[in-house]
Amino acid sequence: MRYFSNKKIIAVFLVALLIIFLHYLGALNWVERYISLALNPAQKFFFSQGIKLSELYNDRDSQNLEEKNAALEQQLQMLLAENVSLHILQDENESLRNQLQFYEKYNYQKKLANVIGKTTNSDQRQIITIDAGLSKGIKINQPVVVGNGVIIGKIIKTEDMISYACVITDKNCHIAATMAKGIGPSGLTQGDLGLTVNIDFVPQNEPININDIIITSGLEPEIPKGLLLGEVQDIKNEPNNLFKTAVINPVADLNAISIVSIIIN
Amino acid sequence: MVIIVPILLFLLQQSFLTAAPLFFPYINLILIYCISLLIIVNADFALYNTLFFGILSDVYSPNLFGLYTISLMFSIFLAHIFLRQLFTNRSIYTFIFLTIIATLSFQLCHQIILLTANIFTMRTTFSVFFSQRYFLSMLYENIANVVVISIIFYVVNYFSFKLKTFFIKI
Repeated sequence: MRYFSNKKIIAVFLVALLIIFLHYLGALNWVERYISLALNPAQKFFFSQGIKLSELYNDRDSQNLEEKNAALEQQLQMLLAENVSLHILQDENESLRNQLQFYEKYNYQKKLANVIGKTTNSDQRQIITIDAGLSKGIKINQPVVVGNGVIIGKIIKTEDMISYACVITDKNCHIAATMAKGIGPSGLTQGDLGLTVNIDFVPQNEPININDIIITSGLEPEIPKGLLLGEVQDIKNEPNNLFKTAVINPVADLNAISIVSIIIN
Repeated sequence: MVIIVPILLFLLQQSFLTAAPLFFPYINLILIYCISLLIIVNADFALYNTLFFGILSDVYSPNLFGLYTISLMFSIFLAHIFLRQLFTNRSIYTFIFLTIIATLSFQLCHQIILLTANIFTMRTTFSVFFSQRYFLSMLYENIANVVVISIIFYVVNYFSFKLKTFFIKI
């Protein structure tokens, strides 16, 4: 303590404690609201610049991959697997069309919002900050979607002007999911390493295959059935285990999301 | 300038760096700025800025309010003690060492508070917090911060005499 000027450091610590205390009393809501109002547009701008930089880097990276891809394509042409892939794509397409029809049919009320921040890697969480909060009717557990009904996460905390949503690849983000084709397992998803999504505890006898489409099951009151989650990428099957794990590849590019919708009704 | 620069830095940290590719999300610009102020300007000014950044970060944090403020103030306070006890000059080694100390103490304090809070609410376990991935990201963050503070040191050293050594002529 003697290294700082004593009075100043005590004052600063007291101010910090007072601010924290007042926050929990709710006395600073209006200040936080004004801070959000003032900074949200700037945050939106900075976040979009970050996304642009990220896309620029990805484009450059994909140019290198293109050369490798061209060489591989020649080999691919000799394989008849293309035909099989087309069949799979046809099934997917049909399923996606069903999703879209379902989404439009029920005409959910949505609120558009901008992503203005993400948690850092060291937090080990996959949380996005969006510029819509309680004042726009956003509530906890409401689904966050992109495009035509592709769920990317759900709201975990709301404030007046901003909300926080966990992304489906977050370890603590669980969403009730099932298979689009109607039959098969249903369970809770869990993010894995911020990259993929798992559905654990799938009974061994349940029919689940690679490339099956996974959707929300509608078992959560705030999340309607039929929002697209992703497709099965892998099935982890231990011979002596009662259950297997389905690894799902999310449909949306979760690193380049700048505008989202929240289904509020 | 005293207000605009910190706000710009906060926006860069909160919105730009988190969305940027490669190693950018690992950079803790706020911590680096506070450490730079601690060494180049003075401890009191660094502490005021720490409080400002801490509160602002807490407003935009989904975690406990006060988590960033306490962690940041703790790390800057610790860095200051090290600065006074171990270093007699303000060389590149001072910058690097204090950045590493501040980064480690910030992360540790941050995780311990979060872990304590989560244990009370039974939301998660010890292994989730102190996993291999956590230590790896801590390492990357240290490397990124050291690279940035080294650049800052050379830039400040180029434009200012403040960090240059001087000899008394007899």
